[in-house]
Amino acid sequence: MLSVALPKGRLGDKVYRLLESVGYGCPELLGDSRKLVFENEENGVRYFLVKPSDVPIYVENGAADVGVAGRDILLEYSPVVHELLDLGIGRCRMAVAAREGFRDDLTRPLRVATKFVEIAKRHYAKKNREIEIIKLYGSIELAPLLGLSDVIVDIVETGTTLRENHLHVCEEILPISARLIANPASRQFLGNEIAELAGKLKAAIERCSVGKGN
Amino acid sequence: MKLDTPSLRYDLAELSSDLCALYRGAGYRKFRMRKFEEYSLYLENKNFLVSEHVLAFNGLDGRLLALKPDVTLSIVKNTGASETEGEKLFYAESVYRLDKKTKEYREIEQVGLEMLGGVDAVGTLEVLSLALESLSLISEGSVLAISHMGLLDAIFRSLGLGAAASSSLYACFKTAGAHELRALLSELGVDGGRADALKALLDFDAGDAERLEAVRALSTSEEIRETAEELESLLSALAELGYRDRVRLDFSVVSDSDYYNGIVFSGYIDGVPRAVLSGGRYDRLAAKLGKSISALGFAVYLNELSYFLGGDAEFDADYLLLYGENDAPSAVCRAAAALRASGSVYLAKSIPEGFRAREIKRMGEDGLC
Repeated sequence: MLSVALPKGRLGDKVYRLLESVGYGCPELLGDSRKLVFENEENGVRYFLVKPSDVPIYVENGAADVGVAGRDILLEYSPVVHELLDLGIGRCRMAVAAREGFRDDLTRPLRVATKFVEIAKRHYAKKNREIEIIKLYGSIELAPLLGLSDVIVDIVETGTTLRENHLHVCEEILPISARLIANPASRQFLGNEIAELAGKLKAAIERCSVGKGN
Repeated sequence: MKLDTPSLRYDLAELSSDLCALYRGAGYRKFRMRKFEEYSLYLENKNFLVSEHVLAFNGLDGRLLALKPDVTLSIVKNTGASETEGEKLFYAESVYRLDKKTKEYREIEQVGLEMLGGVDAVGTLEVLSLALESLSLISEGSVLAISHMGLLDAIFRSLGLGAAASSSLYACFKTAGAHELRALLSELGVDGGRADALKALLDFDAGDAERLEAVRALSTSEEIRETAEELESLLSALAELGYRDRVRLDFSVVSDSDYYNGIVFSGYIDGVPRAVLSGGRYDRLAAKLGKSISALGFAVYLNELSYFLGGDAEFDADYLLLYGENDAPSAVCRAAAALRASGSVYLAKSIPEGFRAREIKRMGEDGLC
């Protein structure tokens, strides 16, 4: 039986629908329940619903054989997992944003507010720009408005929140989407089951993109 | 812990002792070392280490020393082996490393072996067989995943890419990220048949045969052809020895190409989430330490097993032997010695709180009752 860690919330719902469409359904999961573990013996699958940033932890430590996590989480925490597939859903971008009219003062370190500390550090290290990181856990957009930081590094989907707070994207760092990840040890012992699941998902995604193309 | 994780059958001390016996039986000599080394050894070879953070301290003579974070470096530094007069050594040692997750230093128990000098096809097969037998000692459900750094290195060089591009390719291989590899190859201007073959090395649904086929498609130089043949011969030899079902060709097994130049491998146990064994051919490390020898070895990480090994957790002792004030001490000890023939014995006047024994025995007038 395959154990799958799914992120709670909108992304998890989309991923579950995709998995259901290729034969890995578990109707109990859609019910109004506070359960966190759902099993469908017939389909050979067991789901865990966990906080999105915890998915790689469950997979890396073997509590789940596979899981779905955003590329942002994978790049931030660098878990030892295999990335099998780009699911093409949950698309957004990691970007640098600042107040309208912001100009970078190169004579002093740039103050960067973010919850993605490692991604921000790597981005500015590549540019050889000295920065001061301000780690925040939410409402990142507030930091430049209150003068706490010069810029923010955060996920941008539609840009509405930024616009409403008079911020704009000044630099795109990388595109983000959901990835199917697997525990490297599980791949050695459940290789066929994992490849079958990944293969079915890949085919469904390709069918979907062909459909959109038409 | 996974809901259906099986537990394994050893405790760590027993396993360590059995591994040492296995290596001794293959003619390897035990290598004992001090707990610390010159700090400069690790500073100069920090990329070889799992973590570059080393516990350092000043010796009384002012030298900067370090609690050893690795065993192989010390063995290679101190070996007198030559290519014609090789050495075969094994060790059971503690190393001290920074745990990346907890940001704390940990003492880690390692058991491993090193073949120094004269590593030929037979030697390689011997070491890989010992790695597989080591895994068998832990569990019947085990797999050895094999790759070849010399082969990957030669393939990447044949693409005419710089060091930064090669490093990005290695990062893709390490995460088995075929989709990222696709994007990277396109960015690097590698396309057509070579790009398809490179992607096939990582495809999640490819078997060993398809991967070898992809390697053949990438064999554009004599060096690639030779290393590919070496890899194929090794896989065939392992199959002939009866290991075929437990060996996988897996190019996501990647080690630092500055040190490793040939076969690299990782060992997995069913139910344990990380590799418990890791090793490879590291002639380049030996050369960096001034030794012109071929070198191959592996280590078993006992700490990775500690949460998964079966043990005596169910009971504190097989027997709890209760005695009273009036029992003769020699009679109590005689009774305990007799019981020890069939299990562990804990002597006490009353049942300790929370103590769990398989059976409780009491001293009576005529001995045990």
